[in-house]
Amino acid sequence: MSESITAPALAKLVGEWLAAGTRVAAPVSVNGKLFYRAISAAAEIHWNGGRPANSIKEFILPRHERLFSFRRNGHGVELEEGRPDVRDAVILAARPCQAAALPVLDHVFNWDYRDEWYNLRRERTVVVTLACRAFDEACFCTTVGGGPASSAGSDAMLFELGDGGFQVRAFTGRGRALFAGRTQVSKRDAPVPEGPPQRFDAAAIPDFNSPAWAERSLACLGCGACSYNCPTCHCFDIVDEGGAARGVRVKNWDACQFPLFTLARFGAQPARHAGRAAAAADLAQVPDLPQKFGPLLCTGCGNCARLCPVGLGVPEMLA
Amino acid sequence: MADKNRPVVIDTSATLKGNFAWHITRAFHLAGRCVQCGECSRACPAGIKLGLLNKTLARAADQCFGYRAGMDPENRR
Repeated sequence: MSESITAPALAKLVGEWLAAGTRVAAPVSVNGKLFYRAISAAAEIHWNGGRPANSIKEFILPRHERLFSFRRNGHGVELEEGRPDVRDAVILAARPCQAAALPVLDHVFNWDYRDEWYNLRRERTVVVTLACRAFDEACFCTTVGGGPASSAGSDAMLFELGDGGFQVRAFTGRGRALFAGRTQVSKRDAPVPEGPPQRFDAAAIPDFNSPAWAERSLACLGCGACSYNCPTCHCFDIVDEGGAARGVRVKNWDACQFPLFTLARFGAQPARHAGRAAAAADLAQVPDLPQKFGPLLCTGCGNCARLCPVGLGVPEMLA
Repeated sequence: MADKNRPVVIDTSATLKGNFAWHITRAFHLAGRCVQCGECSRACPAGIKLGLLNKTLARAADQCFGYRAGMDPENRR
């Protein structure tokens, strides 16, 4: 016995969320490429497999955010605090490997400093994943402890029944509330999907100080496509834009693959080496990080491998 | 100008202003150099057809100077 929802009922439900002002993000096909995007109608959702090129983190950790603006006023400075774009949100049909990154980010943004805006958005976002029925050659969730129906970070998960409908499994109160009264009892259980094969041994990742990293990362162009589309990478940079008289302080995504990452004015760059090694090992072997944020930060989504223009990526680096 | 990053000349923000400044600067640098292999469009993770900017500037270089990058085997510069 399980609960299920038909495709028309789900579309109607999505329409109701949108009508209520809830932001709904889901896989959308744009010129033949898939992306997680905010939608304005249920019909925009691309249900038919494939992996969006970006990650869902941008709905909770925006790529650009204005913290405050400043203006010099005589001998003083006027400050105007930024207003975060916070509202109820549902992330729908995300891959389980995307949701699995959220508990990691929660640790990061609540470790020594509670990031108010991150938490505001996170608290109002419900994550509904779609169990994977297929995997591609870049997928490696099973290698890092996940799986095609892994519930980490999901409030509810949908399983395709094959007739357009979905079996619904709720894992949290928020997930249950979202579908309450909308499902019907079903005798059918969706088949348990099969995951990708093991791609490397996650326990045998070279040590953080190993010279292997420099050699393996020689081909890296430093474009940052891996980091920006990684569901777990979370580095940001806070910079002032404008001039001395007036400007804004903004928080932008940053990536350890960029040559200027953590470069200080006096010339030191403490995280340069860390960056190369960290991205390669996805922070698994960086001292302190696993203890603080989770045993292995990588969720095996494979975006790094799919997007790298020179054929690097976590599995390629570690295989 | 594009190589000077302290102070920041081009915003790192992924806003209209930041993206516009960066891409126009990049396209200008490639005018008369880009051979239009199309790899920028293929590599772009966001599916942006970056090559269109280069193509426009290549056309301008051709119209203004009669020059097409990569087409003259004698020109090794």
